[in-house]
Amino acid sequence: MKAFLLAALILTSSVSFAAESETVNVKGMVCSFCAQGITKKFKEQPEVAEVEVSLEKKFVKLTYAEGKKLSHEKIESLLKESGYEVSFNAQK
Amino acid sequence: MKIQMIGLLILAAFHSTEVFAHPVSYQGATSMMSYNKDQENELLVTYSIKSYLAVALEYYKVEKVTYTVPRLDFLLKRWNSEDSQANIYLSGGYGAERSYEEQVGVGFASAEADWESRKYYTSLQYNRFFRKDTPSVGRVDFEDTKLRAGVAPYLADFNEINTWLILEAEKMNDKSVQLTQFVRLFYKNVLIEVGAGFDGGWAFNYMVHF
Repeated sequence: MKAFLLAALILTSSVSFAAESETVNVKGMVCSFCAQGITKKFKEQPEVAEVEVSLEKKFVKLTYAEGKKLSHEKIESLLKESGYEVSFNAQK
Repeated sequence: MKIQMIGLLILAAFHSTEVFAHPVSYQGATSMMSYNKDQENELLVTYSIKSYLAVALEYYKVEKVTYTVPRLDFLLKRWNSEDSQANIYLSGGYGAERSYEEQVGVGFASAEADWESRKYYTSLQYNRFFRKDTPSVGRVDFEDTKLRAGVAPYLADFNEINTWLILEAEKMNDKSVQLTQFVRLFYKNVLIEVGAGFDGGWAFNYMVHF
Protein backbone atom coordinates (compact mmCIF):
# COMPACT_ATOMS: atom_id res chain seq x y z
CA MET A 1 0.00 0.00 0.00
CA LYS A 2 2.87 2.29 0.94
CA ALA A 3 4.61 1.48 -2.30
CA PHE A 4 1.44 2.18 -4.24
CA LEU A 5 0.99 5.55 -2.55
CA LEU A 6 4.62 6.45 -3.17
CA ALA A 7 4.34 5.53 -6.85
CA ALA A 8 1.13 7.54 -7.17
CA LEU A 9 2.81 10.51 -5.48
CA ILE A 10 5.84 10.36 -7.80
CA LEU A 11 3.58 10.03 -10.82
CA THR A 12 1.38 12.98 -9.90
CA SER A 13 4.45 15.03 -8.96
CA SER A 14 6.08 14.44 -12.31
CA VAL A 15 2.86 15.42 -14.08
CA SER A 16 2.34 18.57 -12.08
CA PHE A 17 6.01 19.61 -12.50
CA ALA A 18 6.22 18.80 -16.23
CA ALA A 19 8.17 21.62 -17.81
CA GLU A 20 6.26 23.80 -20.20
CA SER A 21 7.82 24.34 -23.59
CA GLU A 22 7.20 26.64 -26.50
CA THR A 23 8.36 26.49 -30.07
CA VAL A 24 8.77 29.62 -32.17
CA ASN A 25 9.68 30.01 -35.81
CA VAL A 26 12.63 32.29 -36.56
CA LYS A 27 13.13 34.12 -39.82
CA GLY A 28 16.66 34.50 -41.17
CA MET A 29 18.24 31.80 -38.98
CA VAL A 30 20.35 30.15 -41.66
CA CYS A 31 23.75 29.45 -40.12
CA SER A 32 25.39 28.11 -36.98
CA PHE A 33 26.50 31.59 -35.90
CA CYS A 34 22.87 32.70 -36.00
CA ALA A 35 21.78 29.70 -33.96
CA GLN A 36 24.62 30.11 -31.49
CA GLY A 37 23.70 33.75 -30.82
CA ILE A 38 20.05 32.92 -30.31
CA THR A 39 20.87 30.00 -28.01
CA LYS A 40 23.16 32.19 -25.91
CA LYS A 41 20.54 34.94 -25.58
CA PHE A 42 17.83 32.59 -24.36
CA LYS A 43 20.11 30.62 -22.03
CA GLU A 44 20.86 33.89 -20.20
CA GLN A 45 17.19 34.11 -19.21
CA PRO A 46 16.36 32.60 -15.77
CA GLU A 47 12.94 31.56 -17.09
CA VAL A 48 14.53 29.25 -19.66
CA ALA A 49 15.84 25.84 -18.68
CA GLU A 50 16.72 24.47 -22.12
CA VAL A 51 17.07 25.76 -25.65
CA GLU A 52 16.87 23.59 -28.73
CA VAL A 53 17.55 24.98 -32.18
CA SER A 54 16.82 23.46 -35.57
CA LEU A 55 18.24 25.16 -38.64
CA GLU A 56 16.42 22.67 -40.83
CA LYS A 57 12.99 23.32 -39.32
CA LYS A 58 13.81 26.97 -38.57
CA PHE A 59 12.58 26.86 -35.00
CA VAL A 60 13.76 27.52 -31.48
CA LYS A 61 12.23 25.35 -28.78
CA LEU A 62 12.24 26.84 -25.29
CA THR A 63 11.75 24.61 -22.28
CA TYR A 64 10.87 26.74 -19.29
CA ALA A 65 11.95 26.46 -15.68
CA GLU A 66 9.24 25.28 -13.33
CA GLY A 67 6.39 27.77 -13.11
CA LYS A 68 8.08 30.28 -15.39
CA LYS A 69 7.53 31.50 -18.91
CA LEU A 70 8.67 34.27 -21.24
CA SER A 71 6.09 36.59 -22.75
CA HIS A 72 5.84 36.81 -26.52
CA GLU A 73 7.01 40.42 -26.29
CA LYS A 74 10.15 39.32 -24.44
CA ILE A 75 10.85 36.53 -26.96
CA GLU A 76 10.40 38.98 -29.80
CA SER A 77 12.72 41.47 -28.10
CA LEU A 78 15.44 38.85 -27.46
CA LEU A 79 15.32 37.69 -31.06
CA LYS A 80 15.47 41.29 -32.26
CA GLU A 81 18.60 41.85 -30.12
CA SER A 82 20.04 38.81 -31.87
CA GLY A 83 19.11 40.30 -35.24
CA TYR A 84 16.20 38.03 -36.18
CA GLU A 85 12.44 38.00 -36.49
CA VAL A 86 9.94 35.65 -34.95
CA SER A 87 6.57 34.21 -35.82
CA PHE A 88 4.46 32.48 -33.18
CA ASN A 89 2.51 30.09 -35.36
CA ALA A 90 4.72 27.12 -34.52
CA GLN A 91 3.44 24.10 -32.63
CA LYS A 92 3.36 24.33 -28.84
CA MET B 1 34.38 39.71 -72.04
CA LYS B 2 35.92 41.30 -68.94
CA ILE B 3 32.80 43.42 -68.38
CA GLN B 4 30.57 40.36 -68.84
CA MET B 5 32.61 38.46 -66.25
CA ILE B 6 32.36 41.33 -63.75
CA GLY B 7 28.63 41.53 -64.44
CA LEU B 8 28.21 37.81 -63.76
CA LEU B 9 30.19 38.04 -60.54
CA ILE B 10 28.10 40.98 -59.30
CA LEU B 11 24.92 39.14 -60.26
CA ALA B 12 26.12 36.10 -58.34
CA ALA B 13 26.87 38.26 -55.31
CA PHE B 14 23.30 39.43 -55.02
CA HIS B 15 21.69 36.07 -55.71
CA SER B 16 23.63 33.85 -53.35
CA THR B 17 24.22 33.67 -49.61
CA GLU B 18 26.40 34.97 -46.80
CA VAL B 19 28.79 32.93 -44.79
CA PHE B 20 31.30 35.68 -44.60
CA ALA B 21 32.37 37.54 -41.52
CA HIS B 22 29.54 39.54 -40.11
CA PRO B 23 31.08 42.80 -38.91
CA VAL B 24 28.08 43.16 -36.59
CA SER B 25 26.73 40.21 -34.62
CA TYR B 26 24.11 39.79 -31.91
CA GLN B 27 24.02 42.29 -29.05
CA GLY B 28 26.79 41.55 -26.57
CA ALA B 29 28.77 39.32 -28.92
CA THR B 30 32.53 39.45 -29.28
CA SER B 31 33.94 38.17 -32.55
CA MET B 32 37.47 37.54 -33.66
CA MET B 33 38.29 37.09 -37.33
CA SER B 34 41.61 36.52 -39.01
CA TYR B 35 42.29 36.39 -42.75
CA ASN B 36 45.68 35.35 -44.03
CA LYS B 37 47.33 34.97 -47.42
CA ASP B 38 50.94 35.03 -48.66
CA GLN B 39 51.37 38.81 -48.39
CA GLU B 40 48.28 39.68 -46.40
CA ASN B 41 47.30 39.32 -42.73
CA GLU B 42 44.20 40.73 -41.14
CA LEU B 43 42.91 40.52 -37.58
CA LEU B 44 39.57 42.03 -36.70
CA VAL B 45 38.08 42.01 -33.20
CA THR B 46 34.54 43.32 -32.86
CA TYR B 47 32.14 43.87 -29.98
CA SER B 48 28.49 44.34 -30.89
CA ILE B 49 26.93 46.89 -28.55
CA LYS B 50 23.65 46.56 -30.43
CA SER B 51 22.44 44.11 -33.04
CA TYR B 52 23.10 46.87 -35.59
CA LEU B 53 26.27 48.52 -34.21
CA ALA B 54 29.71 47.23 -33.28
CA VAL B 55 32.98 48.75 -32.15
CA ALA B 56 36.04 47.08 -33.62
CA LEU B 57 39.78 47.12 -33.88
CA GLU B 58 41.39 46.16 -37.13
CA TYR B 59 44.99 45.23 -37.80
CA TYR B 60 45.81 44.76 -41.45
CA LYS B 61 49.19 44.06 -43.00
CA VAL B 62 49.66 43.96 -46.72
CA GLU B 63 53.19 43.46 -47.99
CA LYS B 64 55.29 46.01 -46.03
CA VAL B 65 52.47 48.29 -44.92
CA THR B 66 50.49 47.89 -41.69
CA TYR B 67 47.25 49.57 -40.70
CA THR B 68 45.88 49.64 -37.16
CA VAL B 69 42.42 51.14 -37.16
CA PRO B 70 39.72 51.45 -34.49
CA ARG B 71 36.43 51.40 -36.39
CA LEU B 72 32.66 51.38 -36.12
CA ASP B 73 30.59 48.80 -37.99
CA PHE B 74 26.98 49.51 -38.79
CA LEU B 75 24.28 47.16 -40.05
CA LEU B 76 22.47 49.43 -42.47
CA LYS B 77 19.79 46.95 -43.49
CA ARG B 78 18.91 43.31 -42.89
CA TRP B 79 16.32 41.25 -44.69
CA ASN B 80 15.23 38.14 -42.80
CA SER B 81 13.13 35.69 -44.74
CA GLU B 82 12.05 32.11 -44.08
CA ASP B 83 15.01 30.56 -45.92
CA SER B 84 17.59 33.28 -46.28
CA GLN B 85 19.13 36.42 -44.90
CA ALA B 86 20.62 39.47 -46.63
CA ASN B 87 22.59 42.33 -45.12
CA ILE B 88 24.22 45.62 -45.98
CA TYR B 89 27.00 46.83 -43.68
CA LEU B 90 28.96 50.08 -43.56
CA SER B 91 32.16 50.61 -41.60
CA GLY B 92 34.44 53.55 -40.96
CA GLY B 93 37.37 54.46 -38.79
CA TYR B 94 40.59 56.33 -38.35
CA GLY B 95 43.92 54.95 -37.18
CA ALA B 96 47.59 54.62 -37.92
CA GLU B 97 49.58 53.41 -40.89
CA ARG B 98 53.13 52.18 -40.60
CA SER B 99 55.08 52.27 -43.86
CA TYR B 100 58.44 53.45 -45.22
CA GLU B 101 59.69 53.63 -41.62
CA GLU B 102 57.11 56.30 -40.85
CA GLN B 103 53.86 56.38 -38.92
CA VAL B 104 51.04 58.45 -40.36
CA GLY B 105 47.28 58.74 -39.90
CA VAL B 106 44.97 56.74 -42.14
CA GLY B 107 41.20 56.78 -42.72
CA PHE B 108 39.17 53.66 -43.41
CA ALA B 109 35.81 53.02 -45.06
CA SER B 110 34.11 49.80 -46.05
CA ALA B 111 30.84 48.65 -47.55
CA GLU B 112 29.63 45.06 -47.66
CA ALA B 113 26.56 43.31 -49.00
CA ASP B 114 25.78 39.65 -48.53
CA TRP B 115 23.07 37.08 -49.00
CA GLU B 116 22.95 33.57 -47.66
CA SER B 117 20.72 30.59 -47.33
CA ARG B 118 21.66 27.24 -45.87
CA LYS B 119 22.75 26.12 -49.32
CA TYR B 120 24.23 29.17 -51.08
CA TYR B 121 26.22 32.20 -50.10
CA THR B 122 27.60 35.35 -51.71
CA SER B 123 29.16 38.53 -50.48
CA LEU B 124 30.67 41.61 -52.01
CA GLN B 125 33.00 43.78 -49.94
CA TYR B 126 34.83 46.99 -50.75
CA ASN B 127 37.49 48.42 -48.42
CA ARG B 128 39.43 51.62 -48.83
CA PHE B 129 42.26 53.04 -46.76
CA PHE B 130 42.62 56.80 -47.22
CA ARG B 131 46.35 57.31 -46.97
CA LYS B 132 48.33 60.48 -46.34
CA ASP B 133 51.37 61.79 -48.13
CA THR B 134 54.37 63.00 -46.20
CA PRO B 135 57.12 65.29 -47.51
CA SER B 136 59.28 62.26 -48.24
CA VAL B 137 56.68 59.73 -49.48
CA GLY B 138 53.60 59.90 -51.69
CA ARG B 139 50.98 57.29 -50.79
CA VAL B 140 48.21 56.07 -53.07
CA ASP B 141 44.94 55.04 -51.37
CA PHE B 142 44.69 51.30 -50.87
CA GLU B 143 41.56 49.66 -52.30
CA ASP B 144 40.51 46.06 -51.85
CA THR B 145 37.43 44.45 -53.38
CA LYS B 146 36.37 40.91 -52.54
CA LEU B 147 33.62 38.91 -54.15
CA ARG B 148 32.72 35.51 -52.77
CA ALA B 149 30.30 32.81 -53.77
CA GLY B 150 29.83 29.53 -51.97
CA VAL B 151 27.77 26.38 -51.91
CA ALA B 152 27.17 23.84 -49.15
CA PRO B 153 27.49 20.30 -50.56
CA TYR B 154 25.10 19.03 -47.85
CA LEU B 155 22.76 20.70 -45.38
CA ALA B 156 23.97 20.45 -41.80
CA ASP B 157 22.17 21.43 -38.64
CA PHE B 158 23.38 23.44 -35.66
CA ASN B 159 25.11 20.55 -33.91
CA GLU B 160 26.80 19.20 -37.02
CA ILE B 161 29.87 20.25 -38.96
CA ASN B 162 28.89 22.56 -41.80
CA THR B 163 31.01 22.41 -44.93
CA TRP B 164 31.18 25.04 -47.66
CA LEU B 165 33.03 25.26 -50.96
CA ILE B 166 33.82 28.88 -51.72
CA LEU B 167 35.36 30.80 -54.59
CA GLU B 168 36.81 34.23 -53.87
CA ALA B 169 37.91 36.90 -56.32
CA GLU B 170 40.03 39.67 -54.80
CA LYS B 171 41.23 42.82 -56.52
CA MET B 172 43.76 45.05 -54.77
CA ASN B 173 44.54 48.43 -56.35
CA ASP B 174 46.03 47.92 -59.82
CA LYS B 175 47.00 44.28 -59.27
CA SER B 176 45.29 41.58 -61.28
CA VAL B 177 42.32 39.69 -59.84
CA GLN B 178 43.40 36.92 -57.47
CA LEU B 179 41.18 33.83 -57.42
CA THR B 180 41.19 31.58 -54.35
CA GLN B 181 39.20 28.45 -53.66
CA PHE B 182 38.32 27.65 -50.06
CA VAL B 183 36.99 24.77 -48.03
CA ARG B 184 35.14 26.11 -45.02
CA LEU B 185 34.38 24.06 -41.93
CA PHE B 186 31.91 25.56 -39.54
CA TYR B 187 30.89 24.14 -36.15
CA LYS B 188 28.73 26.12 -33.74
CA ASN B 189 30.73 29.28 -33.01
CA VAL B 190 34.00 28.37 -34.74
CA LEU B 191 34.78 28.62 -38.41
CA ILE B 192 37.96 27.88 -40.33
CA GLU B 193 38.75 28.24 -44.02
CA VAL B 194 41.67 26.69 -45.82
CA GLY B 195 42.32 28.03 -49.29
CA ALA B 196 44.53 27.62 -52.32
CA GLY B 197 45.05 30.35 -54.87
CA PHE B 198 44.91 29.65 -58.58
CA ASP B 199 48.38 31.24 -58.67
CA GLY B 200 49.72 28.69 -56.15
CA GLY B 201 49.34 30.83 -53.04
CA TRP B 202 47.77 29.71 -49.78
CA ALA B 203 45.10 31.16 -47.53
CA PHE B 204 43.87 30.47 -44.01
CA ASN B 205 41.00 32.20 -42.27
CA TYR B 206 39.66 31.77 -38.77
CA MET B 207 36.61 33.15 -37.06
CA VAL B 208 35.07 32.70 -33.63
CA HIS B 209 32.12 34.31 -31.88
CA PHE B 210 31.84 34.47 -28.08
